[in-house]
Amino acid sequence: MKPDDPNSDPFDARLMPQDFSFKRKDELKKTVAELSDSQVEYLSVASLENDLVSEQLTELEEHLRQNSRSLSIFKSVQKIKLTPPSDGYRYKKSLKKITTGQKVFRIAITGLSAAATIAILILSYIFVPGLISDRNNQVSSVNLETPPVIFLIAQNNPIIVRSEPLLSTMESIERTAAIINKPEMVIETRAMNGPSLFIASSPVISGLDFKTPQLSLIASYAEFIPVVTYDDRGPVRRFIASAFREKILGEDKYSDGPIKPYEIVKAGVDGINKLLDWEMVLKENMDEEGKLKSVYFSSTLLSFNAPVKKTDE
Amino acid sequence: MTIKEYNRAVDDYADAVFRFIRADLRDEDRAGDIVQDSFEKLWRHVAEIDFSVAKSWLFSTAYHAMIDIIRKEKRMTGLEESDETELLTDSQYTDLNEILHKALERLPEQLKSVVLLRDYEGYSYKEIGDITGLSEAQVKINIYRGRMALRNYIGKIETVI
Repeated sequence: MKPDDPNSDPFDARLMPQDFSFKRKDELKKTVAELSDSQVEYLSVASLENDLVSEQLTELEEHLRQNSRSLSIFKSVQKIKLTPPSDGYRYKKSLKKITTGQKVFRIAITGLSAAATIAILILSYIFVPGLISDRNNQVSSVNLETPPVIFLIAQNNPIIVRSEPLLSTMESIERTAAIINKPEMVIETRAMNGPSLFIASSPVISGLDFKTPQLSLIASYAEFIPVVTYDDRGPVRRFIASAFREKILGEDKYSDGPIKPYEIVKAGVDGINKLLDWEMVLKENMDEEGKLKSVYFSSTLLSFNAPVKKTDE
Repeated sequence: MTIKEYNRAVDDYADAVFRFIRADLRDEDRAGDIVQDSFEKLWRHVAEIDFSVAKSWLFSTAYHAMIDIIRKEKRMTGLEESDETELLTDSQYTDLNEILHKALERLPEQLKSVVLLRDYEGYSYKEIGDITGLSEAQVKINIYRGRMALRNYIGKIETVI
């Protein structure tokens, strides 16, 4: 208290600390060896979380060097770190938004794609006849340049072969017709099991045209003779067809078969879907005989089921 | 945030948000729904939210959506309610990370989320606090508790094996 100080409070009495120290103070002190298990656990987690200052870390390391039990606790805690899986969100693409510029660009691309598709179709139709085919044209041609002069009907078992040399156009027609028209022959053919094969060829005689009579013969016995498809496409057309199937349609199995209009349209729809993230659907519906019955199309704006016109085959 | 930045946020953060929610909920479809909803909300506020806070905003939105679902379904489980015997007797786990994730399912929601945010995303205590609405001290305590609970599970499994 300072009595001379005019600002001092006469009732402000403070206790002054005595000059005293706790004699057993040293007994309270700890060493690094005295850390308990729970403290080691806490420090181990803190170490894992990088929460320890360098001095704490040094002390912990010193303790671990002295205590194997604590070391095992420390090691087990260091394992408690989750690793995120590497996979991500599959539908991330659907979350994205497009800018006005992108919208304009995509519309332009759509128009260009449609124009390009039409151009390809027209060019294909003009320059690569046969590339686009339909069912009506599958039996499109018969190779009349084949040299053997035989006409045969063959089955798996028993094999029955009729061979008749053809001397002239009219004679060949008469004789082959005569063979087929034999009553016993017709009965014999109908009674046979298993797949049958009809092979027809004609002599190479210059100046004579066998196309009409040959095709008419095949047609007249179509009810029990399977249709044999002849393909007169050249290697270029086959290559284009196989490349289209492999690269555009993504078919695993090699095929150079003629491309149907449906397949071209389907490829175009899939391409636009990929390009613009659209979800247009094009499906072909088959009838019981496996023939194209209708085509189903669906998009966000429009969906319809269009029946396919059937023509006489 | 611009549309370009929004799309960048989709690229950069959709996977992380999805992984976090899926690991927590253990339900891929629900996690996918939450991710979609979160980005839909981000899109609605695209002009107001800065790209620099988009990540924590998305995590926070997704976290709270998940908590709502959990509360609705009353899936909040306490540590004492968990059945350790199933985990202990299940000897199919060979990978430690897989065991940890399985053990994680048995943690209470608050411990689970903070450990996931810490380990998956490396968030600081403050960032985790911003996402979950907890204080930094609470986050730290929860992480420590979560780790110790996981360590106890692993210790028991190691003893059994």
